[in-house]
Amino acid sequence: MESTSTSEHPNYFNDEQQESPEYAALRRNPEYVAMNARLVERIPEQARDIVDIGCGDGAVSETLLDARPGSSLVGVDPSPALLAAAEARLGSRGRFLLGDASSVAALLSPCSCDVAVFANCIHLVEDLPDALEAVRRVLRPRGSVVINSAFYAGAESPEDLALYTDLIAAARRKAKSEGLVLERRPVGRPLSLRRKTSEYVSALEQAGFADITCEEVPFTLGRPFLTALCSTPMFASVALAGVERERAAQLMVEALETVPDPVHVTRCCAYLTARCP
Amino acid sequence: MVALTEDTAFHGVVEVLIEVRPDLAEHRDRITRDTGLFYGEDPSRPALELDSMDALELLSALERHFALELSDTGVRVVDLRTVGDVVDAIVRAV
Repeated sequence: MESTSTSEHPNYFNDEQQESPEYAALRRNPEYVAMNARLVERIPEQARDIVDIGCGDGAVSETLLDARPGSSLVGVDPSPALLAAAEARLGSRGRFLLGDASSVAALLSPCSCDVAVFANCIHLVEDLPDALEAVRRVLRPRGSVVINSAFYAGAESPEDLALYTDLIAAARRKAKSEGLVLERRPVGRPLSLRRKTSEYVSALEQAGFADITCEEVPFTLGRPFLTALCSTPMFASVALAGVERERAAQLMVEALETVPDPVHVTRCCAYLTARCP
Repeated sequence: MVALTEDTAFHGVVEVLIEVRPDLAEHRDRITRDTGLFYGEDPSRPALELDSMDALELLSALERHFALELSDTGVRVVDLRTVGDVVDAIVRAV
């Protein structure tokens, strides 16, 4: 797979992305790993040239390379820290380039990939049509895009609302008892986190993809997963807005420890596949 | 403290909902007391499709808007199914 010059990348970073190493615990979680293993199962057997978009620290890249011996992989991510972690993990087994989904057309040669993978990151892509257009340009004819996400409208089970909200209420009480001041201003999460699966299907159709499949698979997630989720800025900084992120994550984890067993939630992960004509 | 009328509380709650979810502004006129709050709550009832994170932001924004400490009132998100439930809880709390 050919890549174009990487010497002049635009700056894709923002504060949230620079905090991405804080997602390490979630990425290592066995339930999260299983979620991504199901993604790898959906990659066509014959795919050899793979681009892993939003590759993070290379955890899924490694799974992909193990599952497809002899394949060539390029990982793309906007976080230099995570790319460094991916390079440390995989060395010369893959190449890792700085960029976001929309930049892959500038990073890779046209028609150079058999499959583009979005492993639990498509919900962070704000301009979905732009990203899918870029992906189409680097895919070969009949090339595939394979996506999963556990963050979309409808991923939660309404029955689990009580656990989530009681947990955060407990963390907020603890924060207040320590004299911490909580902000009462909506954080304004990106609308990309609220997309429905039907919107992903429509976007794939509009980008010219065919043979689109969409499957929602429920996962029962236990205490380890919730502990890992609580430690992410995405969760803790919204739940305890105004509290320093690391302390917010600690408070969330401490609050979870006060919830008696069994602790589990059911969440769906959406898997989408599509092909270029 | 001056008692809050239900009508004032309703309009305040709608403002807070739109603050939490700006995309709801274009549907403002369709929000009624019977509108459901959460995703998948009741398929037969129009819902705002809030998720758990929205619910938390909603509580926080309600506290700021109405100058309340909901954590002191025993109000739990799971008891709030509709916009009307929120309005009633706010009126009681104030």
